[in-house]
Formats: sequence, C-alpha cells, structure tokens
Amino acid sequence: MPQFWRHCLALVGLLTLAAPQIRAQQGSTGSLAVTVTDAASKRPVEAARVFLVGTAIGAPTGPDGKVTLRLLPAGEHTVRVLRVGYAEQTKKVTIVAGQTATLEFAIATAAVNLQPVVTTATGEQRRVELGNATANIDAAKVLEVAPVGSLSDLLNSRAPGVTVTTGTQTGTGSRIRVRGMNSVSLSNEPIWIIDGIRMTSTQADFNTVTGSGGTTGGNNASRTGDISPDDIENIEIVKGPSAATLYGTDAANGVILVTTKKGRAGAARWSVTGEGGSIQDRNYYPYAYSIFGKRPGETVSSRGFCNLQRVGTGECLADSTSSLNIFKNSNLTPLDVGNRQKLGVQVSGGSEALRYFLGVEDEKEVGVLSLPQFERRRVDSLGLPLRPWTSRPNALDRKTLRMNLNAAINPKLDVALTTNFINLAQRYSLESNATAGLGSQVFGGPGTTDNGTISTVGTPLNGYRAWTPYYTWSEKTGQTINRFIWSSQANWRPTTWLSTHATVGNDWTGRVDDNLLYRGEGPPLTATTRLGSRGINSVNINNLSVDVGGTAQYNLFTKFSLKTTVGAQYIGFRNQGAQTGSTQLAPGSQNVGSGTALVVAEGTTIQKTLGFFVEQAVAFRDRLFLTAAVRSDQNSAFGTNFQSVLYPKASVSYLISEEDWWKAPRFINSVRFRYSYGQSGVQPGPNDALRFYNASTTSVAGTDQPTVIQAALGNADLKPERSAEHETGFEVTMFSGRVNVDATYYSKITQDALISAVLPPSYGAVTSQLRNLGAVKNAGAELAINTQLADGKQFGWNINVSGSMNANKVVSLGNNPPQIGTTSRTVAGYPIAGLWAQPINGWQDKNKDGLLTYFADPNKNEVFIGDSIIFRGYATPPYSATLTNGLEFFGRKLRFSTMFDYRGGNKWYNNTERIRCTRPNCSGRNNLTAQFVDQATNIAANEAPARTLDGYFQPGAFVRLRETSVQYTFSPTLASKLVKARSLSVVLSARNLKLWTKYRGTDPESGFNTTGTGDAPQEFQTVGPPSYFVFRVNLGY
Amino acid sequence: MTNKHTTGRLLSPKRIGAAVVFSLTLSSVACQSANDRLLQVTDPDIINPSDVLSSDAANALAFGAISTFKTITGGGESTWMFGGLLADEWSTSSTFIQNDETDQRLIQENNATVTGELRNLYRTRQRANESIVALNKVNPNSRALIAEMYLARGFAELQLASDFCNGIPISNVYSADPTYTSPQTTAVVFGYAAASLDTAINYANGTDAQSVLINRAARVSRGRVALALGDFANAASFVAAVPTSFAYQHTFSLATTTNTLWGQGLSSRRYSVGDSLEGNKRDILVANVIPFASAKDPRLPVTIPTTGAINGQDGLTYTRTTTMWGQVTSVDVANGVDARMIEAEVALKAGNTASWLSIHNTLRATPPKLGDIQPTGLAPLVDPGTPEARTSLQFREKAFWTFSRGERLGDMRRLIKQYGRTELNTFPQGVHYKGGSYGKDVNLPVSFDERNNPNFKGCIDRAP
Repeated sequence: MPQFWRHCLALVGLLTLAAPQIRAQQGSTGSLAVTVTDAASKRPVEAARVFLVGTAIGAPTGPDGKVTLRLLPAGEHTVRVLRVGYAEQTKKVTIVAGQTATLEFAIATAAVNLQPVVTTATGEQRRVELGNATANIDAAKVLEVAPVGSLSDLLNSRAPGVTVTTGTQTGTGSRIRVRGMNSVSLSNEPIWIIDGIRMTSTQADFNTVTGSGGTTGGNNASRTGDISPDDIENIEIVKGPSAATLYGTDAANGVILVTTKKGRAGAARWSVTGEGGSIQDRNYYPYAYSIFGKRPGETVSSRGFCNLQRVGTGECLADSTSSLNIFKNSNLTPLDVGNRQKLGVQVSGGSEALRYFLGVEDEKEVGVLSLPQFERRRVDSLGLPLRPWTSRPNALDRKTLRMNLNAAINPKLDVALTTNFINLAQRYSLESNATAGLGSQVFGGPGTTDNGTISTVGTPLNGYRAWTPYYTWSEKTGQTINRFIWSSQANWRPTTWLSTHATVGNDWTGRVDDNLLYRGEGPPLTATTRLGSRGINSVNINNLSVDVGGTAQYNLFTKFSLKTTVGAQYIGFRNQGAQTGSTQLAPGSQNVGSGTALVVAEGTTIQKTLGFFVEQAVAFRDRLFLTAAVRSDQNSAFGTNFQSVLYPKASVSYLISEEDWWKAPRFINSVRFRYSYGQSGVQPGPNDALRFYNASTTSVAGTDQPTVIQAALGNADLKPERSAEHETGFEVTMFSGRVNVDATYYSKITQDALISAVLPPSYGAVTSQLRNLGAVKNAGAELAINTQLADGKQFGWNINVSGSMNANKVVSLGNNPPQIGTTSRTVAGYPIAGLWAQPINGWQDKNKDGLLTYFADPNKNEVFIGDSIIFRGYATPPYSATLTNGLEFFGRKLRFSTMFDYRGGNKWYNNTERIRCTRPNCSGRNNLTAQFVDQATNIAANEAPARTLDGYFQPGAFVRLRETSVQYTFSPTLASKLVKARSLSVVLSARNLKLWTKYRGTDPESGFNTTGTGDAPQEFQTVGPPSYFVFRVNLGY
Repeated sequence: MTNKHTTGRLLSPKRIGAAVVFSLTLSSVACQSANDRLLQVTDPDIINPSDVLSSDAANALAFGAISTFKTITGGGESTWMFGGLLADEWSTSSTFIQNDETDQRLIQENNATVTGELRNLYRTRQRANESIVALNKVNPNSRALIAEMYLARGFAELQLASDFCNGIPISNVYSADPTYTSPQTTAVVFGYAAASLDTAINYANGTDAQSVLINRAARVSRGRVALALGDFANAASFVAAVPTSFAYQHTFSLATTTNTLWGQGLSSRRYSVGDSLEGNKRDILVANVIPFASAKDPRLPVTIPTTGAINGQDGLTYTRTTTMWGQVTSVDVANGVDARMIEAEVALKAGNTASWLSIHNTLRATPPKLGDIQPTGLAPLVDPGTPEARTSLQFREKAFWTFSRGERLGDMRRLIKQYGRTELNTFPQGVHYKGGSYGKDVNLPVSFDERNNPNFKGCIDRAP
C-alpha cells in the first residue's frame, strides 16, 4: 500500500509544479464583474453560468444576477453565459491587469427549456460539444407540479429510451432499463452517481433467515428509493456505452447522474412545502368462479369436480356458476384508501465565499392494503390483538436531512461538501409469490364465500383461499434504514488553463430487515409456523469513491481549442451482513433468543474497481467538436488470467448551422449533427471467477458436524462484458426556438456477454458457471420534440412528445444451448428472455354447445394448438411514447398539465390468471358463460397435452394517463398578503388516473418481480398500481 | 480575434500543460503497479481449494458428501417423494404444478423439482468421489468413512437407475474437473451401483461398529441392485447376514436440516398419503393403486379428514397425513426389513412359497419400528394361492414396509420388466382429481438441463 500511495502522491506533486506558474501570473491579472439580466423583464437572472471560454474559469450568478471572476490573465477573452431556459450568449472583453472589467448580459428566454450544460465524467461541459445524446430532468421544476412520490416517479417517462417499472406497494423499488437489455445473465440496471460519487443502488434489498420465505414474496426495497426527490436539483441520464465509457466497467447499462441542490449566494431563502393526499386502488380485478354440478348418477349438486372441460365431455352436468369478486365486496376487500403526507423545509443562502443549502423533510405514506372489515369485527369481538402491521401492513416513514456547503477558498480553489442523512422505516405485506402472502389467498379462493374454514384453526374463509388477511398480516415484514451519504470535492485551478479536481465520498447504509410472528399467530402454513418466528438481518453497505483528475485547456493556432483530461477513479463496494433468527418462540416473546430453533448466517460481498482515463477534446471554431478517450479498468472480480480492460471512445459534434455557407429556411435556427462511438462494460460478480467451497453443518449419526462442499467452479478466464455502441443523431431548433427536435439512432453490441451457463446435472457440480460466451445486440431510435406553441404574457402552451424503440437480439450464445425457462427463453436470434410457447392457433365450437372442449380425437377437438414451441413476443415493451401537454392561463399563473404514456410491442405474462385456472377459479375453466378466448386459454394450459401457456401471454400495450396536475401560482403581492411569503403556489395532482389496454389481467405494468434481477417480469397474484391524488403547497420566504 | 497574450495561447502553459498531462498519464500507469494489492479482496464467506487439503478438511468434505447424500433420501424433496408421487405412495395437495404433473404422470422435461432431485443425485456421486480421493490421500486408514462414501455413490446410482428413464449420462471414472459423459441404460447404471457397493463392502471389512454398519448398509443396497438386475440368485446372499433390527440412518437436527418427509407431508401438507379413492368426497376411483390411506395398516397410520378442517397447501384437498415422521425423525436408508423383503422375493421367485410366507409372517409378528411408529403385531398372511396374487401380495407388503423410502417406483417398474405386468395394470389409471386423466409416465425424465451435455439428446426411451 505505501508503494501505491507513493505513486499516487507523485500525481499531486506534479500538479504542484504548476504553482510557480500561478505566482508568475498573479502580477498580470485582473477581474471581471458580470451582470446577467432577463432581456424582457430586466430582472436579474440567478444561477446563470458564466464561463471564460477556453479556460477553466467559470462561476454561477447569485440572486442579484451578478458574479465576479478574479485572477483573470490580462488580455482579450470571450465570455459565455449559459442558463437553462435562456438562449446562450457570448461577448468579448479585455482584461487589464489590476483592474476590474464589467460586462452586462441581457439574455433572452428560450421557448424550450433545454439544459445547456451537462455533467460528464470529465466535469461540466456544454451540451452542444457532446457527441452523444443526454437526457436531463429538471427535478426541482418537475416536483413543483407533478405527483412525484419517489425517485422512480421522477424518472418515469421523462426521458426517451429509459423505461421505468415500479413495484406496486408503497416503498418498493423499480426496474430501470436504458436502451434495452445488454446482458443475458448479469444485471441490466444502470449505475447511479450522486454528487460525483457512486451511489448504492442495490435491488431486492430485503431478506431474513426466518419468516415466510425470508422475503416479501414480491417486490422489495431498492436503495435508490431511499433518496428524497426534493433534495435533487437535476438528473442526467447517460444512456449508453458511447457516452458512458469514462464511467468504466459497470456503466454499459447507462449512468444516472444525480446532482443535489446547492446553496446560492444571497440572503437566506426559505422554501416550505407541504403535501397531503390519498391513495386509491382503482384497478380491475378478476372474478372467481365455481361450477356447481353433478357427476352421472349423482343427485346432489356440488362444486369441486365440475369444470367446463368435464361439462363438455359429459363427465359432469353443470347446474350453475357462482362468482365472487373479493375486491368489489366492501366487507371482504383487503383494500382501503391510503394516505400520504410530506412536510419539507429548505433554506439556501450565503456569500460568494460560502454558500449553504439545508433541507429537512418528513414523509409518511400508508399504502392501500388494509385489514378487511369482516376481520376487524372478528378481531374486535374475540378480543384478538390488532397490531399496526396487521391493520395496515404497507407503510413508509422517511426522514431526511441534507446539508450542502460550497466554499470559494480563493479564486483558484473552491471546495464543496454534501451530506445527506436518511432514516427510513417501512413495512411490506407478504404478497404474490409467498405461500403465506395475500395474493395467494385473495386471488385463489372459489366463487363463493361459503368455502369452509381455515385448516386447523377454524376461522371462516369468506372466499379467501386457505387463510384470511389477518393471518397473513400477523407477520411483520419490516425494514429500517439509516443512511449517510457524503462527498467532498475540491476544484483547484492553478492556472487559467489547468483545473484539477478531487472527489472523495462514501455512501453508507445501515439496513435492518426484520420479521416477527408471535407464537400462536399467523397462518397454519406448516406445523411450526404458528409457533412463532423472529428474524433480524443487519447489513452494512459501504460504497467508497475516490475520483481525481485534471484538465488542461489550450488553444492551437487561432481556431482550435484543445482540452486534455486525465483522471483516476477508485470504487470500493462492501456489503456485510449478519443474520440471526429463530422459530418456535416462547409465548409473548419477540426476542430471537427465546426461539428453540436458532438460525444464524453471515454474508460478505466485496468488489473493487480501479480505473484510469485520458480524454482529448478538440474544438474547431466553436462549432466542430471532436473527442477521443480511453479508459483502463481493473477489477477484483476479473479472473486471474485477465488483468485489465481498455474501453475506447470517440465522438464528433458539428454545429453545422454556424457555418457561413449554411443555407436553410429562415424558420430553422440551429442544426447540430452528432456521432459517437464508445465502449463500456459490466463486471461479473465478486466471486464469479473463483473456485471455492462453502461451509455448513449437518447431522451425521446424530451428531452435528462441520461440512465443506464445493460451491462454485469458478472461471479463471472471466472478464467483463464489453458493450460497444455507435450513436448518431441531430438536433434542430426552429421557429425562434419554439420547437426543438432531437433524434437519435443507436446500435450497440455486447461482446463477451456473460452467460450463466447452465451445467448439465451429470457434472455433479453447481448449477451454473459464468462464462464469456455470447453477444447481444440492441438497436433503436429515440425522438424528442419539445414545442412552445404559445408563449404570451397571458397564455402559454407547450407540448412535448418523445418516443423510443429498441430492438433487442441475442446474436450468439457461444456454445451454449438456449437458456430455457418455463415461459421465457434466451435463444440466439431472439430477444433476451422472450416469451415462448406452443401457439394457440384458434378454436371452434364444433358441437355448438357454447363450450370449448379438448378431445384427443382431432375431429372433435375444439382448441387448436401448434406443434412447435415458437417465439411469441417481447416480455417487456420495446416501444414507448410520452405526450406531455401544458396550458397556462391568467398571466400564466394557472397551469394545467398532463402526461400520457404509451408502451407496447410486447406481451405481458398474466401469471395470475394461469394460477387461478389451476386453483381452479378462473372464468375460462369455471364460468359457463366465459368468452371463448378464456376457455381456449385454459384448455390449452390445463387439458391439452401441449400444456401451453400461450393464452396467458396477453397484449401488453397500453396508454396511461400517468400524471395530471393543476397549479396556481399566486402573485408575489398576494403571496405576501395571504401568508407573508415571497412566493406561493398550490398544486392539485393525480398519478395513474386512467388506463387503456387490451391486456386481460389487472395491469400490464403490474409485476411481482419488478425489482428482481430477471428480465421477464410478469403479473403474479399482485395488487395493481394505485392512483395518487395529492395536494401540494409551495411557499417561499 | 485574439492576440498572443490571450489565455491558452501562451507557449509556456501549453508546454507545461502537455508535460503535466504526460506526467499524469505516466504516474497513473505507475499507480497500476500497486493495483494488485489495492484490488485484493478477501471474502470471509468462501473456502479456497488450498484450504481443504488437511485431514480435518477431508473429513469435512466427507461430511459434506453425507450432507448431500441426505438430500436424496429424507433430507430433501428427493425422488423418495417424487417417485412416490409418480407411483402410488403420495398424491399431490400442493399448489406446485411440478408436483401436480408428476402425480398426473405427465412430467415435463423441464420440471424444476425433478431437475433439482437429479442434480442432487449426481452431486452425491461427485462429492463422494471427491471425498474418496481426499480421504485416501490424508486419511487412508478411515476405511469405514471411505466405505460410506462408496455407499453414498452406489446408493445414488441405485436411485438414479430405479427412478429415471433409460439414457442417464454417467461414467464410473471420476474426474475432479467435471466432464461430459454419455447416456447409459438403467441396466448399465445398476451395474455401476453394483461396482460401487461392492467396493464399499470391501472397504468396510473391519469389526468395529461403524465398519459393520456400513458393510450391512452396502450389502442391503447391493441386494436391491441384484434384484433390479434380475440376479435373484445372488440377491439373497448379499443380505443373509443382515439382522432384521439393523438400520443405517440419516439423522436430522433443528440446528441443521430437518426431516423433509415430515416437512413436505405432515407439516406443509403438500403431499397426501396415496389412496385408491381420491377427491374430497372420496368418489374418484384410481385403478391399480395400493390404498395406503384407507387400508388402515398399522405400519402406516393415516388420518383421513372428511371436512376441510385439514386442507392441503393448495387450500382445496382434504389431505391425508401420517405421523410416521416428526421434525427430526431419522430415516432408514437401508435396514433389516429391506433385507427380509429381498429374501422373501427371492424365495417367491424360486417358488418356495412356504419360506416366502414365513419370512413375511415372522416380520409381521414382531414388526420393527418404522420412523416414529411402532406397529402392533400383524395377523399372519395367508397364501393367496396363485403366483400372480402372491406377486401382488409380495409387492404390497414391501410397499407398506418401505413406504416413501424410494423403493416403490423401482418396484412398480420391475413388476412390468420382470413379472410381465403392464403399465395399464400397474400404474395409477383414470380421472385425476385435479383435472384431466392420468398420463403414461412410468419414470422420471432426465431433465432438460442435461441437454447442455452435447452427448445427451433426451431419454433413450421412457420404457419401464
């Protein structure tokens, strides 16, 4: 280690060589005072970024629209001002040694808000200089009006090519895919960087060693969900390897850059937000059906034996069908109105030397799941305990505290410190794939409430399958998070042409998962379940980042500006957990130590990455921008035979409309073409390269003995996946900036794709081995059209349309055969995790009995199934489009906005209906008036020898009114008069208001495994996404 | 326009800049020399191969092999249970389609549970082999333990051949690095089992209790293999010296693993004791099967609910449960009853009806403990009078003595192969209470995952 630090310190030493140069320059420097105002209103423009072109010097304006740049070399300079919502402006100025020059900018608003500066791995950069597309979300602006409850709400449908699917319970995480799926076997989630450091973004973050399966049975927490959206200034999404090269190994799935709010110089400005609202489940849920009938010779009708197939074959004579929809019965439903409250206070201010931002927030949300009325009455009448998690099993309570400081130590050195403490307590309902969960009971019962009592307990079932919600929700499934994220950054500009930075930070999460079931409570899942259980899983997650670099800017001849950047980055990830649990607790005890069967476990994951990069950028006459770079990475997870990986990139951006010879119709204001190529990777898991054993214990001849068992074959040749992407596109601004079109085409191929190769059982070894075998291709297009159709003083109207398509194909699986699951397959020539089945080719009610029946005799058979298993469709939507519409009235104080979202081109696996048909209670099996499509689906799955699930692969396309809001902004005078505030606005918003789809299940976005690592999400006994109705007040002081 | 004093055009800064950038690059490269140490990771969860070379480690490897061995008997959802579903010992009362289709005799090649069971059978072999190498290297005098490893290997081969189709990829040459093997008929695999068990018998030649225990277990298993191969003449000789009271057991504890026959049966109620009358109203007649539940045999006490007071895990099926096993009840992998059943069948095959009846009636008079059940004395059997009926009685008796111990499916297959029965008069037939009718499967398929072995193209056939 000392040797390492000696080498690295040499880096710093070299930089200090530049110091004499600084001192030499100080004698010939001057200052520049810049004032930026709005050209129309003449008001000061805050947070405009003022740059000295060709240097590392730049700073934002304060609330008075002013900023002073100091220690500028004497001579003539070009000054550029950039501000979101305004057109870029440049001016020339001459700096005289020892004097302060002044410059005033009156910048005009741009009709369409585009972020002029973006964050890159080498620092902030003008958007026009980049050769690749970036997506930017102005979080602060979105939050003012949109019903955003989580970070995933903030991302959802706001960037073309970025698909977000969220778990349906309060507090569950999301599945995020950027430009499709690159990897067959590794995670396809993007990485997250917050204020320059790697943010922990692990998915499915919940487990215990006891309890019903040790998980929630469905979606779990995601660590990205811990972050409060209100703390965020903006989010940038780096979409593919062509842009993410310098983020190194792990960035091939995209990078999400989060920048939190910073202080702005000036008097303290307070911002207070209050939010309250209701959460309602307005989804469609299917009916349960039962057939009552008699077998030949029987005289008494009963349910159980009869179904449509048996009626069709004459094995049963149907008398009637009964139906029940628990969700529609106010006495039985496990759904009620949830609620949400949030109170946040933020203050920002300071001087040019020291700026601060402080934010504190308290958020509470109670989901829609609620103990049914019939249960509450029973509990009340019997005097049974009603615990909070039994009454309302799904809830979230989050408190966050943020302090960000920015200090300008001197004109050449500024430092920043960001800190964020999060305390989160949440609990979930066992759902979906937990045998003890709600979904299995509420979707699985018969078409009648008269279905007996709970086994061994005797409580009436009232239409639930095996037990009622009181029993399911007797078990607490909770998680507590204490998280502290900090980063410190120093920017040192020893000369006008050289800037250096160093960022050090850490994201620490202390996570405690717990489950608790008191003795004598809970479902009779097994003989010991009701003897109680307690589990605690304490996990420490540490994500340490160190990022250093330097950028030199210099000119060549008169027309070339060059910029050279070198950098190094270290990421150290450590996840260490210790689990303890026990079952068969003492009566009344909630202590692990009281259990008679103790379970303990320990787990550690460590992964380290060290990368270096160098980038060379050349700008020609401020219109043609060329960039080339290379990054080298080493990672602790690489195989011993593989040392490091190199990722190259190159890009060009051409602002062609700046050329003198450019001729175009007058309505076209600017045109830019861009192209980029780059590579990036995804690293294997920490131990994937190793051959190793695991230890355990077993009873041998009545004595517990330690055991050692081979746990992994390892692969000494393992290396990261390498994704290479070509991206090209153009941007056109038209009609005085009222219309902006941004189009992108990309094609990326992932080589050395890591495939979890299924090993033949006859190996007698582990189930799979990670190998670099395959290749995956993603190609697609993205289009964004932003328009400001009306921009008057009284009335404003903007429409933004964006869309994307992605074609995903496994090019090769190496020597591996297709990876075959029950419903999805990964086959060369087809998408990853595509849906495959023997197709239902049609049906015909040949005997006109109103029923479809399977007969082995093809002349009588009424449901026709293809012979071969074939590809049936994408498991996730390859197409998406979003339409946002904003209308402003009354001096633009009143704003209506809506967001419609389309996704399609896929099939969604209705696994809920599949298992309902085996319960059996689905319409296609038990409803005498069922539609033929439902009957055919059931026949194909449960009666025909093919046993095909094709009918459950249903059209996944939908249009959703995802967001709508009405905002009224009071005039400053009225705000002051009413609440003595500087500003006041009120917002009424709704989320998930309306769904249009041909999907036959609950919701084509409803997935029980959304937060899992797989890429074949499906609805499975899942309660659908709820609707939010939120009222928000924004106050400024 | 800029002049020569303009920022960035100064010659000196440019040169210095280039020098600094160059230096930074060089320094970065120099940093890499320390990278190996910086990137070094020690994961406390794993044990490296270099750590399993000691005498203690060899023993731990052997215990690991025994741990895996247990997963193919009563310590996992093994073919002891799934074979019983496919045969007539168990009926499904779970929500799992894998269980339902096995009970319905319509098993898909990608049945995930069968795949897991198959993997565990192979793993038992591989881990036993690995342990044999390690023990011979550092603990060559642990002959009983080495013999137990051969027993584990042979027993896994016996179970593979008893339960799976023709076309089981396997080799009797051990390789530390797994290799692709070629599909073999069940007869060949029984041959491998015979070889493994013969070696176990040879190794367990001491007079200490452990050697005697393993020797007897290997002899009983070898006798079963001989029956499967039709070697009736030698089958009885293997078990002649094995006392009826003998049992080689797999044991369980709350701190490690518990009894899965209890866990999946009585505890979770995913399996219901098989019967000839299915359906909650007990009005669906299943042909050919032994009425394990309604026979009221003291060797297999069964609770038959008539209401939904004890439903299965599926929430529908009135589940027939047995208290034969508790949470940590040991299971007999091989025992003296097995020995007597082998002797009885050999006697019957030889036409020695008196001896055959005597063996059975001796056992019935003083039945040994079965799991947690100590059966009362059973009335003596009476010769049913015909060879066909005697064969049926032999296999019925054996089915009760060996309930859910992985023998019934193999015996039903032998009824077809060695006694002239057919699938139609041996395996369950008729309407299945969960829908549809029973299919045609008489064995478990080698799973789809095996197609990753280029030598394997599926079962050679699904014949008994």
